[in-house]
Amino acid sequence: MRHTLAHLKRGEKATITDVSSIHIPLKLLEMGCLPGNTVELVQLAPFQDPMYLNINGSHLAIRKETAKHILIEKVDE
Amino acid sequence: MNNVIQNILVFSALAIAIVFLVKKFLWKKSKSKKACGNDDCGCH
Amino acid sequence: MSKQINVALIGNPNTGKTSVFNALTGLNQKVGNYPGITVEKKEGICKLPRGVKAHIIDLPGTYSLNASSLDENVVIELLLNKNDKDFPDVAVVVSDVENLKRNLLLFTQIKDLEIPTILVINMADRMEYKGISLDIPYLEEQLNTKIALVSTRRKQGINELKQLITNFKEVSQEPCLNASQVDKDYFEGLRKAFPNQLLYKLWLVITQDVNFGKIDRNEVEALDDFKTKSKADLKRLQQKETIKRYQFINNVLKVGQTIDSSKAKDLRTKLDRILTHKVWGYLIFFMILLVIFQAIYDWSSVPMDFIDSTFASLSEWSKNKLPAGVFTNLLTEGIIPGLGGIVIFIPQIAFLFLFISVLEESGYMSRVVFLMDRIMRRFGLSGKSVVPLISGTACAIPAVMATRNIESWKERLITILVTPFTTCSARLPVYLIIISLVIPEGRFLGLGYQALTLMLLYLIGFGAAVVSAYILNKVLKIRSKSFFVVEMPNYKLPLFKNVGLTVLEKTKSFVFGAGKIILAISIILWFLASYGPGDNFNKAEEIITNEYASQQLSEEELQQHIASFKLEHSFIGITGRAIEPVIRPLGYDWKIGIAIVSSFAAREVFVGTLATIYSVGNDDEATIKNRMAAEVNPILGGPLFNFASGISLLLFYAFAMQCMSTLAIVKRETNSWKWPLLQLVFMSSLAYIVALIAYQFLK
Repeated sequence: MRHTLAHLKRGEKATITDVSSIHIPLKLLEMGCLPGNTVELVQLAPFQDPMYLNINGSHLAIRKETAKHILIEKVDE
Repeated sequence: MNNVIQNILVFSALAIAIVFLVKKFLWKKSKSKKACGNDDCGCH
Repeated sequence: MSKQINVALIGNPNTGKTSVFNALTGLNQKVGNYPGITVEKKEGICKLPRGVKAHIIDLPGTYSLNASSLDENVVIELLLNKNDKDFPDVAVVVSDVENLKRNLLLFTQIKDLEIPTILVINMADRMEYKGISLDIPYLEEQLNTKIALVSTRRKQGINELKQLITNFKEVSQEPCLNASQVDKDYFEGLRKAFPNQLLYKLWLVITQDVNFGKIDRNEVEALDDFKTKSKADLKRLQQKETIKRYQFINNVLKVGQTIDSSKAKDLRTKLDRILTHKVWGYLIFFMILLVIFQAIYDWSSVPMDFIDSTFASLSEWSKNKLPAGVFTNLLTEGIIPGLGGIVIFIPQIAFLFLFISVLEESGYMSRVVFLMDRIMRRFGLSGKSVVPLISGTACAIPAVMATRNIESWKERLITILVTPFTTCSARLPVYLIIISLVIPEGRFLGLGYQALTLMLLYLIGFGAAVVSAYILNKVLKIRSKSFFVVEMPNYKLPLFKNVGLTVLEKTKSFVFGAGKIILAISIILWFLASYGPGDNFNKAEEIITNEYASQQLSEEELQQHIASFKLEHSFIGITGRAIEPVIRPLGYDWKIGIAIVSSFAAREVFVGTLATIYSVGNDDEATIKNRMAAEVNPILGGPLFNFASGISLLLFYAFAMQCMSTLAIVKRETNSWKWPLLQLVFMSSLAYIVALIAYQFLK
């Protein structure tokens, strides 16, 4: 099954594998959301949305609808 | 004499006030530039 | 122009760019607007060694040269236009040591424009704390630049930076990587078609679909032929370009930067655990709001009372000292009360901006955005709408401008349209004086009725904003790409200098911006109330003396009758009585009508107008409130300001779009008269209907 960032649970880490969807704004890539980078879900707001992420040391929050388009591979601890 | 001077001062103050307001609120209309319009100007 | 160096400060948001700007320029700075748009333009002068001066522009914060907002667009427009008088001789890119990787993206883009570029690595004081060490010579070599390691907090590195700016000619103009490699054929074609142009500049013009006002039109049209690639293809290329830049940066930092994460101490995690918590997060936010409101209303009442009484005695003093005449009257009845009406707002505005800038500087505001996004989205707003809605309690104008970082156009438009409902500080004087007239002083559960009424009015304002947002969200058919990216910056202790300068700046712009309008209007009002056409006005003395000849009136009473007869037949009185039929059903007389009409310029003019109308020709120094309380309803008898008409007025001001400047700003931000007119019609009719119902029901 394809995993997306939206499936990540709090405290989990993953590696970004694909961000080529046109639904992903360029700004997000420019902030470091690129294939190969590690992403950690720091915190979820109530109703599981938005998501507070740590991507390679860059801290940002995005909505779930954007997270759905970012493909990841979970990192086993 | 005093009265004349005071009247002149009053009318010049009034003129300055009116000119200022007209400039502030009406003058700028003419030079409205075509920037981002009704859409999000294709940003993002 | 001879010895002045043009410097542009560029950097990501939250890198302390403004602190660097403040450290370089101190108080030698001014804030204005870029021509034609409302983006704030900050510039200042910095004295460099050997008598050289630098003219420094603090450009809006941006993550890259691919603009997604008007503010970011300013950066590109300047950097692409060599003929601009502000075109930089040298660009200073400010980066934050903890986010060096991300910050360097913008740096490599600016290098590609072949402008001499200095790199400032700011917040160097946090390196040790975070276990970061840097190999500066290596970085300078790889990035082809000069680096200044700066800590504005500890005031380190600023002199070194000044030195680098002085010797900017030694800084390389060479790019540090070749981004055109992402599609060799395409870029080769571009190069052949425009041999005299910079490749990266062409690429930027092709990919930005934002408006480039200042760039030569012909050039852009010629480039249209090159838009052979579809939008999606271009975007893919931009993605590739970004990845390529990051590869380069990663390789450089692999050697040039070492992070010993075992030494890193993390305050962020601990604070975030509480501040973004499901329960505590909201509770803390609520408490902070309470403190802010408390400060604005309680703490500022002391200086406000002081200002009020100072201006009253100033008026009194000049009346006694100056030679009698019309100009003295203008001074004491028009100008001095008018000035007082401006100055009295300074404490509240200063407090509000103090809190807002502390919340923003500390990084807390992003957490609020994060917490509120989901809730706000139900109403068609964004988490980022919280900031405008909060700053709207000061003034709708900066609030409407604060919507700019909302990415989705629909969410931004709705925020702009509903923000004027929040109770701005200009409504406060209106509320306060009417509440003190019509609401009794009793207490309910320990809370005063008057305070409760005020709180209720604030809630009504927020409620109106949220409900209209919900309706607009359903009604407006705008398809807009919605996305939402917020950086969650590190928590920082706000720098006193930054906060102080912001407060100073905002207060100044209020006094000299809104202040001038209020002053001009009070002069005109005074004139309209003191002059009139025809015999009724000019022969008022004769008419009244004859009319009351049979009655035994004291001199004082006679003067009172003459004054009010004159006022009724002055220009303002004639206008007022013309509109009286419209406002009569709301329980107002023509004097209130005049106050409402004139307060369309700015709400706080309402109190000033009543003050002017009641004080024209009046000699006793009773306060405005006493004069208002003494007014008699000309038709029904009894006090004019009673419970019914008071509530009706309060509700009218809660909903009405009584602010010319807000309309002007909305017009500029939406670039169309459609939205401000819609706002005006909707809000004014809502206000009229609600006030009408309230009065008819309560009378």
